[in-house]
Amino acid sequence: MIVVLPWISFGIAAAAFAFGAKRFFKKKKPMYFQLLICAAGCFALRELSDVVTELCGGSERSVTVGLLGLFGCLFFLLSANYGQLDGIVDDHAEGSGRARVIAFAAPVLFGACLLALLIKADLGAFSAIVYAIVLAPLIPASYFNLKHLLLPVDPFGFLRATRECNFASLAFCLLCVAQLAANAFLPAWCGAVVTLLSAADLFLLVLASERGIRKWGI
Amino acid sequence: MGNLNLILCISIVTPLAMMLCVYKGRSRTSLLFLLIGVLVCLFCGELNGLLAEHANCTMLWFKCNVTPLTEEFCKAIPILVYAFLFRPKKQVLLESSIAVGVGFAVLENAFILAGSVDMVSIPLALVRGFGAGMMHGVCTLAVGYGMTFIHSKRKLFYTGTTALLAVAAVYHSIYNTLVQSDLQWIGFCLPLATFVPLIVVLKKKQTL
Repeated sequence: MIVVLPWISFGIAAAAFAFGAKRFFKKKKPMYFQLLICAAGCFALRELSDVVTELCGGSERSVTVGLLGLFGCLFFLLSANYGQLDGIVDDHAEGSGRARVIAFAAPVLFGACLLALLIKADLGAFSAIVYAIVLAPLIPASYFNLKHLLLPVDPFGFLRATRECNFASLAFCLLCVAQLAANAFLPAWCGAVVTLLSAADLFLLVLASERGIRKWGI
Repeated sequence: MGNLNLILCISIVTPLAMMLCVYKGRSRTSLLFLLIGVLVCLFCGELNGLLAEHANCTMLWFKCNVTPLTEEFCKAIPILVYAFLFRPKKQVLLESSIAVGVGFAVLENAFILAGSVDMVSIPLALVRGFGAGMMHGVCTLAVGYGMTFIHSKRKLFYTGTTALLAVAAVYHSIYNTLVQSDLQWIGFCLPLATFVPLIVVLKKKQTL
């Protein structure tokens, strides 16, 4: 069963990317959603890397460069919110100040969880450093996700259109932390199940993007 | 054999460098970046050799996990400098990016094929030529695309290019893992399966 799970995760993530790429990579489609699709593609690549490594005889170390797929995925999620959406929806008005402050709860919480897990888990120095680098972008990404969920609705409906996507992105950040916890403290199949849930979450993110595109700018 | 990489580099770079005096405009830029790609490959060869000596791992793990990182990072530097200093047009930057990747593949292929003369054959040369050429081309094209936002959307450039660099490293790693295994034919087909759709999409969007 544990051998099949990465294949299923790869299948779900690849299906999410293919579905999104076919529909969203067209002219005049918002780049925000295209970046979310790229995040799904990046995760699919990470799963493909794991599958290929296993097919080719496995790896002598638990960490491989395939983990950078997760790093890229988180950076694409950050790109969508910080690089694309934030400039449109946050005009630094007084009304949004409270949301900006409360949103710091997400990076503080995720940062503390990651730090605690990296210290408590018996991963070894090399693996701990690699995991710290790979998961670092989820700290700013979670800030922008929560901030865009808390900001007052804008007149063009951008925040309304991206609400479900931000929920799914925030859930993905949570699953990344759960993944690290599962890898460190639980049997291997638990980690594979969390990966499967992450892939399913990205599929939901793509479906939410499709609904979001219809609401975008209305 | 110790200086084979350097000898091949000189024999490829010298005649092409002379062409720089004749060519003008975009042809010259593309040729220049092709030459830079060859030089980056020479540098990466030395850097990887140095790192491999000090790394506490097998050569297979090193080739699948460390070389993709160093090579993608080194190939991105000339494009980053060019994009940052000269503000080229999007199409010129993409052409230059792909030229760096192809230049890199030229020396890498020459070195690998010349280094194993007893095993080399025309089909292998064709497969390596297309496979490695397209793989390096796709990787640098992806990173170059991110860099087209360097002046227009600075926030997107920082995060997007980092993500694309990670994607390129993982893709390169998958290729290396497959090529080093019994499934090497799948490895050689992988770049073809990504390069052709990518070029078709970019042509449709009139980016290339």
